[in-house]
Amino acid sequence: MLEEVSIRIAGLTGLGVEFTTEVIVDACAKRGLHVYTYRFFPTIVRGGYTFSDIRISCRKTSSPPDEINILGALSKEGLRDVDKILSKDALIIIDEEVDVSQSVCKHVIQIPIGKLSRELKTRMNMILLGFLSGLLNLDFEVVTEILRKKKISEFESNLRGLKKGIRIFEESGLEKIVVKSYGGVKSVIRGSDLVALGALYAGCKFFAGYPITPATSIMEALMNWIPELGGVAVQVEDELAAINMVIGASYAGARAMTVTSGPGFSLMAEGIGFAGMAGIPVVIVDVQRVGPSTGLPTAHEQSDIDIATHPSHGDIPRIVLAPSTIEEYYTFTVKSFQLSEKYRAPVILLLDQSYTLNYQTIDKIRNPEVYSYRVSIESSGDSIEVYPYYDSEWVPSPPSKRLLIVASSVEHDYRGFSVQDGEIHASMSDKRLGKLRELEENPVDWEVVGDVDGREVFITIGCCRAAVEEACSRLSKNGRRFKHIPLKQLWPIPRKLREELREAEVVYVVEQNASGQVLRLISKEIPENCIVKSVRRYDGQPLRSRDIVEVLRDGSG
Amino acid sequence: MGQASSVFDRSKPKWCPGCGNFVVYSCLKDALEELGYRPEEIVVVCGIGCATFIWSYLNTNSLKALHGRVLPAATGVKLVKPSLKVLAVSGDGDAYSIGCGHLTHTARRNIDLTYIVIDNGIFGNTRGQPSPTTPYLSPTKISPRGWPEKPVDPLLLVAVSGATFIAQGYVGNPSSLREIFKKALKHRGFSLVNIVSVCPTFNPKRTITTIKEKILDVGLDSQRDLDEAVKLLLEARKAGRIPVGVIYSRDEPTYNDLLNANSDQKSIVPDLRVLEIALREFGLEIEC
Repeated sequence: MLEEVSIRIAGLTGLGVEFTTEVIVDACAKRGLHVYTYRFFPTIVRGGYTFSDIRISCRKTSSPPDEINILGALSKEGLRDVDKILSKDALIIIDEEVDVSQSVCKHVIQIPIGKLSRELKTRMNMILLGFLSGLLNLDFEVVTEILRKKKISEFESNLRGLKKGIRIFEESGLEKIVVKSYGGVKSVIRGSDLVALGALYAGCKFFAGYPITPATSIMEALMNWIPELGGVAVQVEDELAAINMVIGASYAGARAMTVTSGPGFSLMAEGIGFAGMAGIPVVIVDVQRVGPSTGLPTAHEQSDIDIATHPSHGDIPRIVLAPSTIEEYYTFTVKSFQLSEKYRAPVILLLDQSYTLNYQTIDKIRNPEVYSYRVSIESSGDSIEVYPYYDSEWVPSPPSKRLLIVASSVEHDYRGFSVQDGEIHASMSDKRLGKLRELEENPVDWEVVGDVDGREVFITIGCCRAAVEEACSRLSKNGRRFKHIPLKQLWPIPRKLREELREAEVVYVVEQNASGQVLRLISKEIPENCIVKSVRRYDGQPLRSRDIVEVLRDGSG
Repeated sequence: MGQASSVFDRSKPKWCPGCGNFVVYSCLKDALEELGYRPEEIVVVCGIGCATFIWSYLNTNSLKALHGRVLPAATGVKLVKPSLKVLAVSGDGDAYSIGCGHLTHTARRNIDLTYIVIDNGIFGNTRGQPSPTTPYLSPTKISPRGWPEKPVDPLLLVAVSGATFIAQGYVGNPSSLREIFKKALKHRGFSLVNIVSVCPTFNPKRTITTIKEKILDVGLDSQRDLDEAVKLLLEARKAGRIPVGVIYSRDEPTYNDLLNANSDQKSIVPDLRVLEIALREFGLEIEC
């Protein structure tokens, strides 16, 4: 039995690459296997090159595979780039009508995918799914049940294809590929669903957003679930409306959030400044994609660090968090709401496209401690008073008995009353920014992993953590000692970072953007005598552990 | 006109002498009092510009929003706290220039709020640049040979966008303006009250007298259907007249009605019902 196998399903959009992937992932999870997926897709809805990598393992894995062992191609385009990613002994399964004479791979199995799908009036991907489920020893009953649940209207034709595919595998005489399982059943989930669930658990009662890849799946989940729990979720005309509606709703007492990606985040900039100035708690999720400008809308990149940490003009308080594990997609979302209230600052959650959109297995999740600063307060006096909104740790909202709540985008005093006085501006600025010092000292979920005494130190952001952890554990067998700091709080910059780097000899800053935005952000925290290596991959694909292994072997960076 | 002892007085209003905002402010205050509102149940959401200073002077809950973003902010308030009476206040620059995009969308959603726009045809706060309601080809500080843009017609714009209450007042007739406010405040749905106003400092050519000559009184009880209302607006425009009164009023379900969101939101923290959704949709166990 194998410990791990990696499969790529490739072809054109519209052929069912995603559907096939989801069925395989679901069936593996039900056998207790860990699965990580990564899907590359173009902006073209039908007819563009797409693939999906599925990493099946007996251990938890959260980074893309270094090599692909099995390629299931639904069209000739599926053979693209195979020389770069296939392992030496990889198996290719492809339609018999495709000319494979140029293929570098020795093990090519050609099956009549197209012919059979026409004869049986079924989809091509079902023949391939049948073949792969035979090859991977997936339980027939389980796969059938998944197909029934997924698309009942096409169940009969899908089943015909599945059965035929299995028979072809059995007739091929190939040996089954079985991955070791420690049993149990895993849940299959995307980061987007975890963010939506986290928001709901925190009591989020208002959502406003505008569709944008790759953030739309969070929006869709919230639009479904928030009304189910009695709240309000709306799709609005643009991101300017989204952020300002969220601010209005939060002022009026509801925990509120919006989700977007880079271009929408740029549009929200002024609103984020408003929330910071007015001390109105809001949560903004930015699922990063390739920029600048419209960029590559469907591809992965971590290039919004600059704008997330410096989103708006003026000195605004803000908190920027980047979860480093799929579980943190849930826990950080929950925490964002209370942090935003406690520090009266917008919280920006910086997410990765690869974790947000793709399915992974997880065991279970532990809820973080939850608290709220939203209280209902009433005045004991006879007359109506204006609440000292900016002197209070509480966040009351209208209507409050005999109390008025005044919040403002222009400079104001402790009650929210407009002022022109420079001295009040100075003291209010200190008050707004001063609160965050506490987070500088005690950052959210600070963690140091690997060898805590290691002199070679990795600093990673977001999903780069998994690839680096994997590479380090492989290379530490050769005696190298690596300390690893997954940087989860990007603003305010944790003071502990400097302390942890004091003994460092080499610091590798690993991130996925062209200019080294994380390195630029934290460069003052790195001791002067240390060797600094910026490790960057920015070709639209998530980091693989072999990228790190190569850097460490070459000593380049 | 407003008395000094009103519960809605916070501080003494300050605008230039002769500014139309004084009239709007006292008419609004009177209307609120006459309808028996209490300051706690009202939220005034303001944008940027001289007109919006009302938020400082009027003693209510208030949210001073960004330039042009009054309507989204006000919408957010209404969607989560329908028990509040929401007023949005802008000038013509705030409403019809930088914020024009939100106007059509808020109207077509029929958000239950009253949008008060004080329209003096000039950017007064920035000292006299043309606004979207500055007359076509009229000379301004930055266009001595005449402003080359045709003015926005806010009433027609919201009429075809689905607004359910459309009115126009003018600062030369406070008693009519007060009644228009009362009608708008009582309306359930999106109401726009455009107020033709004056800026003696930066738009001295437009005076109460010059406005008065063009007034077309359309009354306070509109039985017009949308076609008739649009026809009235088009004909008035053609004749160079300013219709004053309630142009259109109709009851339709509000956005809150359609979203089934007519009770005030209270955040339940934490909301344990999520555990069921996680289990149902993903078989995911979340430990508390």
